[in-house]
This record gives sequence, C-alpha cells and structure tokens, in this order.
Amino acid sequence: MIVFFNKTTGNIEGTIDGRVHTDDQLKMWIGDPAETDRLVINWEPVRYFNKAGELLDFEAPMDERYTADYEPQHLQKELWVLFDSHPRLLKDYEVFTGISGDYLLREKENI
Amino acid sequence: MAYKVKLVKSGYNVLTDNDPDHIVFSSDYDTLKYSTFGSTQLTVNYGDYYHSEPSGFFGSDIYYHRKVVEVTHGLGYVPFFVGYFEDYPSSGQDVQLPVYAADFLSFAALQCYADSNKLYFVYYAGLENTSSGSVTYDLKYRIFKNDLGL
Repeated sequence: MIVFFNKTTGNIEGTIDGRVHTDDQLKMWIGDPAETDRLVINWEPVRYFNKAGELLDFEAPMDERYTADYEPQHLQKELWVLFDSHPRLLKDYEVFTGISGDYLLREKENI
Repeated sequence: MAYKVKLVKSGYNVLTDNDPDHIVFSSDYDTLKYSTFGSTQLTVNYGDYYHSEPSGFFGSDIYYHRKVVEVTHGLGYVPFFVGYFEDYPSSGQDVQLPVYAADFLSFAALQCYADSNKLYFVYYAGLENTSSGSVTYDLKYRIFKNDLGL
C-alpha cells in the first residue's frame, strides 16, 4: 500500500492499494505534491515453502521455492496487515514523524 | 498456422465454438488489464461557495459549490477507469460514479473523468441555504492499462 498524506496535518488524502507496487504505481501521486508526501509499504517474502507445503530454508534455491508468506516492511507491520484486509480502518489514522524520522501511524483524536 | 490461446466454458467445443458468450478467454479479443486500485477523499467546505443567488422562494438562497480532487496516474494516455463513491453509512454500498441527486431546490453531482496524466473526481452542487460546515466523501478508483484512445 502507498499512503499519501498532508505533510502539515498528517491527514491521509489517498491510497494506492496492493502489496507489491509496479513502476507505474510508483509514478503516481494523489493530492498536491507541494503539500503531500507518501509512505510506501512493500510486502516482501519472509518464508518460502516447497510444492508439498514444507517450510524451506530462507536461502533455498529458487527452483525449490513454490510459494511464500509475505509481510509488510514497516515498524508497525501489524497495522498494515490489518489495513490489507480492512482498508476502511485506515481512515481512523493519521501520519506523523517519529523520533527516528520514520513516518508512523497513530489513531486520530476525536474520531 | 496462427497460434492463439482459447478457453471455453464447460460443455462447449473449444475447436469449433467461436461464440464470445461461450468463451472464458481468447487471445482474439482484447481484455481489461488491471493496473491500480486505491482510494481518496473529497472534502467540501460549504463556506467556500463560489456563487449564491436567491432561489425565488422567501428566505431561501442557493449556494453553489465545486471541488476537485486529482489522482496523478502519469500513464501518458487516457486509461480505462472506474470511480466509486462509498455511500456509508447511508446505503452501505460502493456506488459507481457518476452519482446525481436533486430535489425541488438543490442538486449535487459527483463524477470522475481522466486525461493523459490524471484522474479527476469532481463534486459540484447547488444547495439551499448551505454556506457553512463541511462534508467528506470517500472515493475509490480502479485504473486499467487499456488505452481508451480518447
């Protein structure tokens, strides 16, 4: 998912849904580029399985990998897992800048 | 011999049946190629009306509003697209745009269109005695790679 938000208020102005984003999607923008920024959440494989469904070593050769489990690459990955299946819940959140400079989510006050 | 990919529904002969209603997929026919889906919001501040005039009925004025929200797709052509308005909590449905509503004195429209760079959601309305407050509409869009040729 890619989330576009107002840099001043943190209000989320739009999204591009999905787990892995194409070049076309990364060229997109929602809102005024002077006022908004974006948070790109890509999902990456964390476990591989063979055709029998058996867990493989993460470094197993490509031809043994039949499928994979994916997880979002972000500090708040549990939230992004929730939004993946319930995207409407994202409306209750806003973006802020954490201590380390990362973009993070928090629940809006007075929803 | 020309090669093609063809898949027909159960019960039909793939070698002899060319009825599109019996075909699940055929390389003879173009298909919609899904590209992107997502959401955005359109907030109307009623205090930002651009025009007002008496309705003709005592104590009643019509205030005109217009707001546009843009989604930059950057494809370089006008793509096939679909826009939806999340009609929550009213009907609980995602309603395909355009949507129009009107009564004796007021009207409102929510529609979307595209050019070679952007998808636009447009709200315009003439509302009786509505010059303060705000409303937010939750919108969804689907953009396909198919070039409409417009």
